[in-house]
Amino acid sequence: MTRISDLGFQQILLNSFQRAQGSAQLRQIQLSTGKVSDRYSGVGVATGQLLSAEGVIERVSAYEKAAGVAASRLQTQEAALTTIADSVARLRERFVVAMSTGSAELIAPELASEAQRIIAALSTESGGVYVFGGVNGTVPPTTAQSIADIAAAPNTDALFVDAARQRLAVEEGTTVDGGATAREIASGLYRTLQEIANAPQALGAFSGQLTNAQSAFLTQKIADLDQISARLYEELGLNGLAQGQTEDARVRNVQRRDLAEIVASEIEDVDLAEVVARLNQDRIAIEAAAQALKQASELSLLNFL
Amino acid sequence: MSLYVALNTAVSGLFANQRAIAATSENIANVNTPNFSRREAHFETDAIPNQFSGVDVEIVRAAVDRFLQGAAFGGAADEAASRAIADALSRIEASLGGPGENISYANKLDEAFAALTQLSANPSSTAAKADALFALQAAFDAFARTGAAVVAESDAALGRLNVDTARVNALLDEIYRLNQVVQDSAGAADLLDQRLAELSTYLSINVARSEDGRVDVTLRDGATLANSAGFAALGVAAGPQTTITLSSVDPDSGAASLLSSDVNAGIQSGEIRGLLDLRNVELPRLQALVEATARDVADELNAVYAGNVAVGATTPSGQALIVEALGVFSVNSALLADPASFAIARPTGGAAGGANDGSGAIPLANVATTAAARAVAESVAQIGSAARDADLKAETNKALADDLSARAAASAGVNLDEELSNLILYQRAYGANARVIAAIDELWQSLLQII
Repeated sequence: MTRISDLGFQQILLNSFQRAQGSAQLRQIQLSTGKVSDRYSGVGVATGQLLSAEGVIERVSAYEKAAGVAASRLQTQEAALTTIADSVARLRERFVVAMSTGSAELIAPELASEAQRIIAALSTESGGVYVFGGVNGTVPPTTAQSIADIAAAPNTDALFVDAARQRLAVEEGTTVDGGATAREIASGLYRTLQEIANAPQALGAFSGQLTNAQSAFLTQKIADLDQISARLYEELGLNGLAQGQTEDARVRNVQRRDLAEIVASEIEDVDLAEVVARLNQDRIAIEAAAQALKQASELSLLNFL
Repeated sequence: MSLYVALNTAVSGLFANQRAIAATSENIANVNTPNFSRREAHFETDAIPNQFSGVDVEIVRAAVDRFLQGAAFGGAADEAASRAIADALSRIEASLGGPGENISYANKLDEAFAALTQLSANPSSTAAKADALFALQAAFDAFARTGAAVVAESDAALGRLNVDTARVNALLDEIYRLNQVVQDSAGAADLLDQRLAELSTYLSINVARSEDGRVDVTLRDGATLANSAGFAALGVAAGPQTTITLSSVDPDSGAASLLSSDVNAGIQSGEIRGLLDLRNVELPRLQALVEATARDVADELNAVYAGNVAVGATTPSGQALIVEALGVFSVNSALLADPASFAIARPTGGAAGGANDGSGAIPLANVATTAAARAVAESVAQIGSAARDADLKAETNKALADDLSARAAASAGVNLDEELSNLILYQRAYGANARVIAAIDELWQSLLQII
């Protein structure tokens, strides 16, 4: 014969009531947070995978920002390099015009004007950092203020702050070239500008008609400017390459972050439809258990006495 | 049969049923008393030939299924042991936060690596340096927070061991004193079962019973805890390995005499076993895990930092990025006080470190890809996994204990339906006997009128 004690019976009902409550509580938390669990133990063996995915998201987001800074710096460099290349081109054009017209009147003012533009371009800043400063980007990369400083320098290379190129992290394990330094870009240019600025001392001032010696000198300088221009366009090409690498890295960073977010979501996010359905079942279980517990608790012999 | 014999018979029936009704009332009153064994009325013939023929009743405690009761005690002990571990691990796990909260040391370390990555893009920014240093400090603070939670749980476990052993000692004293009266009192037998049930939640016990109801309580290895001759007392000896001591107690004077300085092996289950396992095994393991994980990461960071050069310097300073004090790791306070001095340059060819040289921050950020950093997530997973396993074990043991307890109660507990039918039976028998007495009274009256 199977006996049932009322205390044992009530205990069983109470346990089932508590189990239903516990299950409903879990579903409520899942519903309100959208997560499988509010504890790592609830995620189970996938915790390591989840944390790794969250780590990837965190780091990749940082690389996205770093790549953004790098892209901005490279774009600023591109604009400055273009400015310098344009100045070189205008100087060359002025020399060609002077030689074709035989008039040297505008060479000196043009030289001063373009030198000023070049110095300003070399001192371009992005986010408080001189983009041609290399690893010493916190100080102006050139100390020259005008063509006069360039002309008077015993050694034009001394007008540059010596610095190594900077490497920029754009992706985990990937860095791109942070661009040439002012010295790399303008060392030859400063020498040429100095030679042009100091040429009147030997060849006479650039005014009136060009002398034969002056024409020969300008012909030589046109060739020098062509070489400088080629070097600048080469640097612009490298800049474009670095920008392309940065953009590729940015795309890969976004892809990695998306992938990691999917992995994390699959581990920690709940299927809300399933949770709602289960919560409904749990509520029915709670009501049933509560009803049974109520009936069991109300058992009394007083009515029969 | 004389009227006297008939009257005596009816009166004996009246009294017998009155006692049976009283026993039933006691059962009803104790329907919700744990470990109460119902009273049963056993009727038997009581007769003296030609003089008396009646009924006697013996009120006895229902037989408790000792096998089920022992199993229920064991189940309660297992549940208490696993619950003690599960609760502690759950609290330690709370120091990690939950998924999505991103406050675990793994999350904080990821944030630090992210800050170092951003520093590499803004190497001349003192704010970026401070951000990276404070992010690193936050990561090692998170390690320390979890480590402190483990230490706090260990201290709490010791406190609970002291409280538990004090309660166990009080129970053993009571069991000894109940042993002296149990043979004469069903109520004492109920109390004895209640004390044994409570004792079994603290430690696993073996209970041997004599015919008269006295019990001999021992640990699983046979060490005596309480019997009718005396009782023992437990103590706690804290040390690298926490041990439970056993002393015999003089029941009269209360003087204790040490029997064993280590009875851990005899305590195979119960809350005390759980707390011992926490103190001696589980918490030291987690403490070592967290500390080793933090140390490995700190070593990796320091190894990389050793190659970095400060602004204006030509060689590394040899300064440590992360320092350790008593197993707690933190960012070098000199760097926190002066973030600008955070060395992140990697000049080549003996050149001085440039203010905008972040090439040393990149390998620091790349520590995230080393085995030491990958082990961080794994260590959090291990803590979560340990908490989950303990929780599942506690739930399983609770279900088993509840089932065993319900089964044990089923054989000896009170069932109100049964008591109702018994009550009606005894009331009707009582009424029938009363009617017989009334009939005899009428006969007496008739006879007296005839006279």
